[in-house]
Amino acid sequence: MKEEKGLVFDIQGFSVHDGPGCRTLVFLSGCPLHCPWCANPEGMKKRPQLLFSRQKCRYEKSHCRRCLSVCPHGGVRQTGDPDNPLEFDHAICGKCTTFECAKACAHEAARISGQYRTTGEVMRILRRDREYWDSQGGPGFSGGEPMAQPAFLKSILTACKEEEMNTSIETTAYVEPDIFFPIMEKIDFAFIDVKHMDSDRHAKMTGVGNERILSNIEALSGSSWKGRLILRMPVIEGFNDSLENAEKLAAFMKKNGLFEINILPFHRLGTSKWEQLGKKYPYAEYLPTEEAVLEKLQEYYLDQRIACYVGDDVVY
Amino acid sequence: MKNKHNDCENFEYFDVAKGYCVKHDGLVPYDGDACECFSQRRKCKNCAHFLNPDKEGIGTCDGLEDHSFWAIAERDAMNCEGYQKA
Amino acid sequence: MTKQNKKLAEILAEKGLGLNQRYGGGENSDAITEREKLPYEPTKRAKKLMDLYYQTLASTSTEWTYWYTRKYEEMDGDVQIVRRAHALANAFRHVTTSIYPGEILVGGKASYMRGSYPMPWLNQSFFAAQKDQFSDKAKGNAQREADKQAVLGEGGGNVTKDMPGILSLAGKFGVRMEEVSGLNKITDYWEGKTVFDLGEKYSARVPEFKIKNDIGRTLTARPDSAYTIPVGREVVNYYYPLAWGWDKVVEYCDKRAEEVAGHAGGDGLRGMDRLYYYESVIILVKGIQAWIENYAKEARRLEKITPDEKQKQEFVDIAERCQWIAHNQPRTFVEAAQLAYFTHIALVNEEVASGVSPGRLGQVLYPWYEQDIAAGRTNDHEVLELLECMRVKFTCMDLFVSGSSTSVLSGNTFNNLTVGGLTRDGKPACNRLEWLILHAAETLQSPQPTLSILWDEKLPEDFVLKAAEVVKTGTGYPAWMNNQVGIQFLMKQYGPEGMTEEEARAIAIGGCLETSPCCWKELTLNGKKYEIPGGAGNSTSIGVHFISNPKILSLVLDNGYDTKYGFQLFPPHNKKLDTYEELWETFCEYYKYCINTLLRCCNIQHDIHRKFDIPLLQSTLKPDCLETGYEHANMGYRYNATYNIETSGTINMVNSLAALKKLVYEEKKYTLEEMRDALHHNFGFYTPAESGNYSMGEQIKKDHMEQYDEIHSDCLLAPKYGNDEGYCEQILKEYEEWLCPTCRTFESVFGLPMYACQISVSTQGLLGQGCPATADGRLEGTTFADASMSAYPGTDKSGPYALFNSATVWDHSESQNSQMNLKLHPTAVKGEAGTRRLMDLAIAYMKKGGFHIQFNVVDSNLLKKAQKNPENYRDLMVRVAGFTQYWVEIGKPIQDEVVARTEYEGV
Repeated sequence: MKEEKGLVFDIQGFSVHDGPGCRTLVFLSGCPLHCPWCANPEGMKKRPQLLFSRQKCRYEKSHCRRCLSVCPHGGVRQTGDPDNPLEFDHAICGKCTTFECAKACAHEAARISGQYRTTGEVMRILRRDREYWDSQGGPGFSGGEPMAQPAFLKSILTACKEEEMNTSIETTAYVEPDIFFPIMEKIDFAFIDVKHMDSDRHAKMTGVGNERILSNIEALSGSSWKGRLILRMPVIEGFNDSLENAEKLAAFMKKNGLFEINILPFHRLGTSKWEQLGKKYPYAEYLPTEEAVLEKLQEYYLDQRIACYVGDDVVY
Repeated sequence: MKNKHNDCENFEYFDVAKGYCVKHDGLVPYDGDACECFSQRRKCKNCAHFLNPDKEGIGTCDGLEDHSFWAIAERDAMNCEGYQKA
Repeated sequence: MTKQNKKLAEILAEKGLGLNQRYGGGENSDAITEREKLPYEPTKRAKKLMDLYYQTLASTSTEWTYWYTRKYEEMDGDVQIVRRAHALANAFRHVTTSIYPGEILVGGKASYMRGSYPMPWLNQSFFAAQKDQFSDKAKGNAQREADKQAVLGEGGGNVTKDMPGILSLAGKFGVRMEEVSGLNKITDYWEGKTVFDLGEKYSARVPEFKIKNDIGRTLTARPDSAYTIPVGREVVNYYYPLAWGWDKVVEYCDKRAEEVAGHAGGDGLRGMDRLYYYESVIILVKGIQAWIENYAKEARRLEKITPDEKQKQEFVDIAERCQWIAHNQPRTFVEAAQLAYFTHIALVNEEVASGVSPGRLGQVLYPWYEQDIAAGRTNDHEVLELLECMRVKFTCMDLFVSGSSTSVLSGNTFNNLTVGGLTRDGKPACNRLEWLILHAAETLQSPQPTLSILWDEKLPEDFVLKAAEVVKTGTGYPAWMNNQVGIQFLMKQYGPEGMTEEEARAIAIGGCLETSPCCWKELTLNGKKYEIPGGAGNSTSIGVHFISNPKILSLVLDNGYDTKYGFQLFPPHNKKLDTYEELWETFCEYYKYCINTLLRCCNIQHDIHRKFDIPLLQSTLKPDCLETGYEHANMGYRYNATYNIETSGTINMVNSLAALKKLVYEEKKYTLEEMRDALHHNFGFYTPAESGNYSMGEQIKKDHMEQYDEIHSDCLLAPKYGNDEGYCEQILKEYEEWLCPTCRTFESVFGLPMYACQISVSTQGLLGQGCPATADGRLEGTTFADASMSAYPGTDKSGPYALFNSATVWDHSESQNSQMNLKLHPTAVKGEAGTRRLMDLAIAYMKKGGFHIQFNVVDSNLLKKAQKNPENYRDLMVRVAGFTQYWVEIGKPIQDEVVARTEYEGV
């Protein structure tokens, strides 16, 4: 097994909504897209980041001053404001590599997202979890964008395949074909996101156009790849929730012989993570997608003889 | 002294504050006043064998095999083989 | 199926993929689940009865107490077992037998719907002390009473303070003022005669007697095993009334009495006792028969009173039914259920008992169910209605115990109904009736009976999925028990008394989690033979009650001195504790000292109990008492090695040992003295007594106490159990591999080896209060980790699989049980796929060797609680596609949104 090293921001066992069966999801850091609605913002950058949770901080309750006493960079200061007594300067923290504060914090108020792991370490966890997967389950890769660390991902997948695990991935497919295909070869089940069919509109929000994504999907469906592909689309109000976009997407799918799509209702559960990163969640004021909108979209796809699953109700 | 629900035969004990009236099919207050359907319940205080109760309600029972034992006025006697209406 | 799902199914079918049908539908379903569609709402009848329950106040009556005492006094001088039989029978004969319109199953412990009795002959110390208070209150109250129109006591619940006409006892139970003078006379009589009085008198001879009581008041352990709930945590055997009928039991005893009268039968110690035993059983059973007939009589009386025609007929049926089963083998399913239920009530009236469990009732009653259905005498809708009514009845069972016992039991009486498991010859034992029992738990949600599934690989998937579905209703049951691990334990513990693998398969769970030895009995109904399981052992979870593991460790560090209560509790060990090995060895020594101190006193307590408060009905129903003529004290049960040693706070102890090992002995960052200093000062925090709160998250730091910040932080950051890192797990393994064999070296009152019992019930709160700060960073007085294998709240950060690995480093069959409680967010088990996921998770843990797991699928109320005490819900993960987040990390406004949605969508 080729031993690589990569940045992982979470490994989550008993994941039940991200592929068939019970899966252990490995979340890799780094993403070429910058969607403003992202629910895993701590995975956007390919470097460890500091998250500070005011809720967990025991500055008042326990008079805890641990982070203040260990930080050598002046990244954290007392504000004197009783509602917000401790403040991290994320401009400074953004350059930090030592994160003394997180190591000293016993309450997980200051913590690092992103831990370097070797292939061997990840495989040890997957092998352990294997005893708990059911017959359909296996390792899953998500993030961020798992393919943004191709060598690391590939080394893990190679090992998984050697050990006959059922692999899954959630990807933007926004990578060069010569990275995309060798990885997909080792994948049994894939969710690929198509955020918008119009490339300009796609770029306006995510920072990149969709050509590469669509061409990768097209090539994949035309190839000899034997895995199962379900497209995914987070439903974002005023962006991609129109019937027009659905029509284009449906047409694209039919053209390529694809018949499964999973539309995800928008949720704001990630709001606090943006705040922990010292940023404001751009979609904080948006409400979760209305039932009626989801129903309408699902109806449309079903009428086009495309199996459209809403939220967690994917058929495995 | 008025008759109370708990003195009535139509009353089934429910809890320390309430009973179930079988005639009217509903809960009634334990210490509430009985209605016109009142029918006297068998209790020690209504028994011929219950003698000389004191102010705390303790008297003597001579109606059973032990011939004489203390008893308490409000004790229910629905299943007492020695009960004899006073 | 929804319109959308239909379309989906079509589209997928075209492509050769199947829509995940609801299990049980489709051609491949098992005979167990195919049948007419049953609703998920409770039946009207059961709902009405449950609504009535919610309006009851916890009420205690002195009826039983009076009639028992009256006869007991009269029979003074007679052989004790006979005297006891007379007293019990007298109580049965005379208690008022209430029936409420709408009931199918009738009967209860007392005349109240939710009633109980004080049983001073066991222990009256916790309520007799207030005697003078009572008298004054009773007098004063009676005067006011005459003029007052009593208010309909609002709703239900506990009677925590006095009300007009009602006195509050033991902090929870209401008793009528009129009964108080009588109760005082009764407690006067029992003064000096109770099991408690005699137990304390004679155990005072044990050199460590005073230490035993000190152990109790310092919450180092629950000290007295026989004074609170000496009977229970075992499985009922309904065989004799169901197979023979009570008349034949009396006939049999008559015959046997003649056979054994005057014969020692080769046994100079026990042989002659048999005569008195059989005489006593006859007396008791006749009393029980009179009691059942009183219900028939009452039903006939009510039939004349009630105006409603339909209700009249129901009373007629009830009377006929009760009259029949007072004497004979039941003929129908309703009669069998009624007789089993009467038997159960009789058992919980015989003694202060908690955890008297129905066992595999669905397999016990199956013969009648099968034949009634085949003959068209009933259908599943009716059976379901009856099962729902049975749930209400079990929920009404209450227990009059002291405040601290109530806190440990959380007011629960633990009537555990087991489903699943294997037959004697190793086939799946589940059946359609058990499926209905599971379904009734979904339609009529009530605290009792609790359910356990004896999971075995051989059980059909449909059945197991149904159990998982019930878990999702959020009641927390069924709990999952590992059938094979339980069987292995039974073989180990009871092999010397003759347990075989076939007999071990009759296993069922007593109380909340107590693996109990059972047996098979052959029952004939209308010529067809069946084999039914039932209890065959003495009570468990008595012997030595909950020891506070973290507290023992504290005592080791402080040379036996209790820093919280300020005195020398244990004899000083005077060891330097220079190495971790010495620390561990000293812990073991102190632990054994604690067991020994408690055991010597408790053995005497149990000996007094078995001499005076003979569990006579237990000794009638449990094989092999009736055949041998030997009762409880004469070890007539088939399995007598049931007494055990209970532990609490295991994980805090493990985490504390880990912290000491790492910080003091390996890294040498702190000396033991520095650690002691930090612990003695509670890491610079106020105690809960000062702060007014026992939750870890609410503790308040004193001003200017920063000198302990770093050591506290290091203690909190030290390795913690539950993350599969190996450090703590190694310590756990070492502990278990010492504890389990060590427990076996102790002898119960029966001279038989004891064993480890590792569940917490609710002791983690009570014992936590008595424990100073511990090296894992836990603050003084705060609650321990619950269960025995659950991680300390907030410390399992690696998900359930890591936790499972951590929990299974040791062999669970070496102990009577292990306990794992897991909280699940409803999103994790949503829909049918979610049910399957839950089942898979339980099975995965079982396959790894875990003995028990229980899921709490948190509902919106619990989510709100989680908002207030996030540290107790640290491990709760929200499962949404493509998203990773713990519930506690989500900001409050979003949490509120999710809570609202949870209420709306349910699970």
